[in-house]
Amino acid sequence: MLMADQNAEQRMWQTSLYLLGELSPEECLRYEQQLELDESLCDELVLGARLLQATRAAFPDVSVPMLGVQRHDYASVAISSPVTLSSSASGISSISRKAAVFSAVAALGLLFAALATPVGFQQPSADVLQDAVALSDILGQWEPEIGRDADWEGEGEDRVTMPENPDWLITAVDLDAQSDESGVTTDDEDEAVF
Amino acid sequence: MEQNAENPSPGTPLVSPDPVTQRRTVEQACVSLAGEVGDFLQGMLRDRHLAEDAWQKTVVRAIESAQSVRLGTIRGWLFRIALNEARAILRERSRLPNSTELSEDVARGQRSGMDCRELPMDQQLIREELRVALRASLELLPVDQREVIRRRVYLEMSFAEIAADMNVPLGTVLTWMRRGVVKLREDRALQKLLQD
Repeated sequence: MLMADQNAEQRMWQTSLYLLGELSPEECLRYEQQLELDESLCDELVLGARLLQATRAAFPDVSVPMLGVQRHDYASVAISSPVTLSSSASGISSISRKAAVFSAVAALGLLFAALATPVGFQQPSADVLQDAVALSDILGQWEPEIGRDADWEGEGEDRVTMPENPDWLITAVDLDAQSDESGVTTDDEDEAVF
Repeated sequence: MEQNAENPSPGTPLVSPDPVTQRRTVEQACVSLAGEVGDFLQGMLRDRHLAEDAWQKTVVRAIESAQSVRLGTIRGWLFRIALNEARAILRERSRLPNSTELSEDVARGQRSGMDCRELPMDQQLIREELRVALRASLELLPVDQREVIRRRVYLEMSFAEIAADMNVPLGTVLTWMRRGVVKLREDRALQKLLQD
């Protein structure tokens, strides 16, 4: 590196330290005395100050290079399904919300179990990841069907989807009704059996 | 740099013995160099409001002593007046007992330094362009250098805190910071935008 380059680099660094408030009072005084004598150092200070301001403003949008990024990516994959479920469940029914919450808790449980292992920051195994995603998928499978049902639109939260009555249940109810009409109670029937 | 044909530039000798003309020349210099000297003052004082005060005092002092300016060196002369005003403010500030509130002011001033809302539209665009270019340059830095700059400049951690946090020697942190800052300063595209 040339002497001039070294000097230029040293000026940039001194200016940065001055702008960051890292120089001692004596160093500050020396630097300011230099400013008084050297107009190009004033220019360096102007550019350094602008760079510092712009850096402060730019950082919220710059990616954060930390080990935690890996964990974050992993977490976002694992919880994506429950989050979708939770959001779609709002305004539908308490049952679907419970299912969504349960699936979210279950998936998070698997996630935390994976992260709590001694491997620390290492990526969890693919099996664990698949388990978490599969569980949330399974538990969430019926959720979209409820969401797609046009009858639910604007009906509020109190309605609950009932499965279609099986034939055996209809038959049993009919028989029960017939027995009521005949005046024989269930208890009587039980007594008759025994 | 902010110069035009009408306003004085560093190497242009000013031939204006007439006091009225000389005063007018100083006023024009104040207008054309306001951005540069303003950033210079903000760099020194690390507080936008203090920098504004210092700039007002600089303009008043410059106009008052317009007759004493050595023609052709008006830019350096204005920087020196600004420097003296800033140093006077720093001296006054160091005498004040409550430094905590001042630090908060400083932090607020530093954070608001890139607030574009008060700038004219063309300067807003330049600043936005600068921010985009800087973001790209920061992304190109090695991870360690970028992280040290982020922690020191954006999170305002001390170098010692950064060293402890990242579990590396203080010297390593300073080296990463220095290399990162120098790379940013040497970025040609950034240099051009910083000078506009």
